[in-house]
Amino acid sequence: MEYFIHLAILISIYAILGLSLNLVVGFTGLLSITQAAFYGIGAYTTAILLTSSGMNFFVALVIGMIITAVCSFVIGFVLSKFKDDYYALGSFGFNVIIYSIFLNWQSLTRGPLGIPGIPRPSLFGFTFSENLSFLILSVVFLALIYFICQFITTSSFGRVLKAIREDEEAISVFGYRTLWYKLAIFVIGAMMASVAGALFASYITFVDPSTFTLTESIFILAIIILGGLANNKGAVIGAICLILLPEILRFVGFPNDIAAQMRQVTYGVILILLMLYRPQGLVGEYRL
Amino acid sequence: MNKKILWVIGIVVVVVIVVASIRGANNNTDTIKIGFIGPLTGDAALYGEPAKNIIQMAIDEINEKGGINGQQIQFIPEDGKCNGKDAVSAAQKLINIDKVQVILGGFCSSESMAIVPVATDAKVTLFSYASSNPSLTGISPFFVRDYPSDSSQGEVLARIAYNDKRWRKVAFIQEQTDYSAGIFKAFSDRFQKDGGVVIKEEYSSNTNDFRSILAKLRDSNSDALFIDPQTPASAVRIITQMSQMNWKPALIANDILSDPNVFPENFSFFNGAIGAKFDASLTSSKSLSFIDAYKKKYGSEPPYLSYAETEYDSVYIVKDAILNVGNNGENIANWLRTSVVDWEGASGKITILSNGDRDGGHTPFVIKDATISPYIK
Repeated sequence: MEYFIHLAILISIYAILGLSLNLVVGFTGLLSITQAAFYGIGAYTTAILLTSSGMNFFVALVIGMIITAVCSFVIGFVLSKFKDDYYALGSFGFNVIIYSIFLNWQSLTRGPLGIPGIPRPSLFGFTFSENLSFLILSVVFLALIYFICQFITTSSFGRVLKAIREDEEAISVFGYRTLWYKLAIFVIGAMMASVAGALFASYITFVDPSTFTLTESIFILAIIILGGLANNKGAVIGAICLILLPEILRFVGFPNDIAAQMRQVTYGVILILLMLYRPQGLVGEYRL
Repeated sequence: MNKKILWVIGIVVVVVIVVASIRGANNNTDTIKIGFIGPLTGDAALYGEPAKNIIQMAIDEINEKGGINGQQIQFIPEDGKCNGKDAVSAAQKLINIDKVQVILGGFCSSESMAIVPVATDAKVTLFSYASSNPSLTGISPFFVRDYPSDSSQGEVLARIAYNDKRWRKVAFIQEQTDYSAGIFKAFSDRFQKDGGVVIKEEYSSNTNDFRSILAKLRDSNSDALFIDPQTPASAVRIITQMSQMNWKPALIANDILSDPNVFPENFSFFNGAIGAKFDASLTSSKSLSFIDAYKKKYGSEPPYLSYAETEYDSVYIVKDAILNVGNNGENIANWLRTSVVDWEGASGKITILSNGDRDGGHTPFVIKDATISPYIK
């Protein structure tokens, strides 16, 4: 049972990441590949505050969100100068920069040694040390963020975002300052990713820079492309699929010698087939 | 369409849970299951693959000789991918589905760090054959390792550099990995406490051109240079470029360079270099028979000998533990911490302390005429 609880926790964390990136990529059409950086900032802030000052998890989570907001505001502002492919490349660069900061600012992050012993959250004397209680906590966060996303995307603000995605010039003719809209959704998405980071740090109890590389950003992007862009349900479904798929492949019964490699290969083949036969993703409403 | 997809996903999830629980319930009591976690895919698979092969080989040897008390060992390797998230998934699967009592792993310290709490909660022994991060010392009563902590290596070398060689300023070139960073930390803590100065330059693992950092270190007029790589490959590049620059400082090296098979053509460059490796003599009979067995099975020298020996030993230590106290994670962990004293293995004499670390740590050596000889003051 613990195994399934563990997978459910991972799914909640990655669903939050998927939802946060979907706001930026799916609804606004900005191909951002830097979500792991914000995920990492959230995780590191929580890790550092919890281990060095023994601060409460929920306070650390909010501080992490604020720090992420500031960083993402600056990054988003720079990125707003770019368009399309250049935007993707620019965001790619920021992921690398943030990763190098985790790796090199050793007085703060301990560099490649990572930060061990991050405690589990506690609230009013109750500690979420059991995995089941932690699962409930992360599902609550997921539900909250899901409803916020749902609210954003169905509001008039969300409609402007979709209009930006379809034709930025046209919407700016109507007097909308698209820069601020793009910046706002970028910052909101980053803050949500930082929540996922805080949950991750306190669940795994250890963070090191290798978790927040470019590959992780691409994995998050894969979640929403597979689940379906511009659909909040799609982000959750994508997370379920991409977390469960490799786990299912553990039980296929490949011989020990090649099991791990075959898992990777099969995983890749399934993703390729999915994209071939369902390029809009499982429940997608928009294609890149 | 949406509903159909949700149905498909639902069915798949149910099937997985059913299959997994059947496999869990189907626990065959005739075999002893031993789990393994290491990086089997990704960059670090370079180490994880041989680790898996060597452990598989040791288990096959035991099984051929009749197993443990007549019970065969079933080996279940899982991919930890050198990161915490995947290692925890693998550990949860091994513990809850396969119901193993012992997990050999992780390889990377990032794997071990993340699975220690999982193993502790489940009262399963976690035996690392390669993680050297000093933060793992005494981290949990269920964690032991037969690979020494980086801190012993760094300290031994710092003492020699400061007290014997009377070096006061050491230039340091370090790869940005947890292993190398751990050695640096231990070295510089000791060396600076004594009053020395360390000037460090770091490089990322995919660096090819070291000339600018080497030039910078040369200009620092240090008494010696400490080379602290993660892999022999980057060490070779550093040495080659140093010889092109015609810079021949006094050298200190970490135990990556302790294997004379690694790069014979550059070995003359290392004359007089000091290093430290843990008590593993290439002449011990267990080590030799291990190397022979490996050559017979895989047709080549065992790669990364310092890891290979501890990997091989870990299986036999666990075998002794199960022989003595049965296949129970808690008992095994206790036994390992109290009863492994001067255990003769391929990696030399192993004593595991009550904090789970390997005792004795590193002994210094000097490289002379392309061979390794013990360091004498």
